[in-house]
Amino acid sequence: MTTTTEKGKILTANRLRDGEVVFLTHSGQWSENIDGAVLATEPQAQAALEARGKEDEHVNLVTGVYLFEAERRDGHVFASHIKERIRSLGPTVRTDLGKQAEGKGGHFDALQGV
Amino acid sequence: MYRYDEFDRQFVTQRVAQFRDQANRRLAGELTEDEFRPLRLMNGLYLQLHAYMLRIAVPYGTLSSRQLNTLALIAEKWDRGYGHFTTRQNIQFNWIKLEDTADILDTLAGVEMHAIQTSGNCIRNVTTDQWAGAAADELADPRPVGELVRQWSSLHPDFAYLPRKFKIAVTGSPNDRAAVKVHDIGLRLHLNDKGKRGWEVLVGGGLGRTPVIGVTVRDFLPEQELIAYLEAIMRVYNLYGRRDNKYKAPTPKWRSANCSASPHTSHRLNSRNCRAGRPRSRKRVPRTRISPIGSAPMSPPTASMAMRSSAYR
Repeated sequence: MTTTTEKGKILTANRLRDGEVVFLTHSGQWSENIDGAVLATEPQAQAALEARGKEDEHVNLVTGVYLFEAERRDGHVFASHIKERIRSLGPTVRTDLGKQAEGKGGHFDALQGV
Repeated sequence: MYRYDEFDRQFVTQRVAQFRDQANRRLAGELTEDEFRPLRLMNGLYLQLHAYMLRIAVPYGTLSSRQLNTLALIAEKWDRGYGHFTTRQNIQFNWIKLEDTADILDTLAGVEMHAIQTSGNCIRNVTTDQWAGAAADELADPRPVGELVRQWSSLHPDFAYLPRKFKIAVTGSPNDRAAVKVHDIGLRLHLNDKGKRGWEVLVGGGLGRTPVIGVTVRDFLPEQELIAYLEAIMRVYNLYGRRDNKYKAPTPKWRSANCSASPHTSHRLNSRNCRAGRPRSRKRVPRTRISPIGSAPMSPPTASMAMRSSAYR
């Protein structure tokens, strides 16, 4: 079976109303699941992604918008930095809490590098 | 234990109303995150890795059953059914919503609690031995002095913009369950040959990225001079604590290599910056001020309450 890998950046923020960690999707919505994130591979696309996020920050949907490096492998997004893996999953000391416990976590372990 | 006085009640009520307005303005886009951040932090509301977090002070770790029941209610109504008691005797709720926070603070005010000074570069919640008042080895219950320190440090205008957060712990026991050696100021009770109370004062301790054991700068401080001495320490810290590097901020002169020995610090505290040694100093806390705190019941009343929380079932 062939593994397809795509590298790039995805946009994340916290939803203003409740602080939930969210990721910008292809349709311009914010997903709680990292697998729903749109991956921008080219610098121009990454800049456009960031600009789109800033607009939503400006209209108070989200706060703290930033890009981070990630990979998409066979449909699943893997965050390259441990901080983002933890944000995508939930507390490492209580795996029964957070996104990972609600079926909204990423398909990786927090300590698993890419 | 800590009870609101009229000033506290009015102040906290006003603060909740202010925060409700601030949060609404933030949600409406009238305040930016940069403008709102210091306002929410002044009310104990962080935005952390996973979500908002609200830290609520539990002065010297003493709660009444009514207060504990209210914390359970908050957990069930506005969080996910639980909270996290911290090592410094606060409680944190980790999944609350910004839009609910003013209602939570309002509910807390109803049971004489708040989240003020649980964040930012100020004097934080004063902590003590978890067995205070009940420990067989303690010389006296440390919580009246904890309450004195709480009253002195709450909303003190000189200490609203410190170089870094500042933590004080008090113990009445020779066994350091309050971890006074790893606090910015640690107070340990001693009795002299005549049975008179005095406080050993430790400064400069801390945990975090660079753990440091505090040093004793005064072996036996008369209780009436305690507040003057604490103010002297705070003046030194305010003057010499670094504001340019938060990781080095808790490292004022007394921790640096040249003056790690306590005599230098003691000299500074006991002469130039402290008037505690002067018998007629206005900074002396009169016994009439300390005694009512000491004679007030420190252990909260117990009450039978309806079991509202599903966690009890």
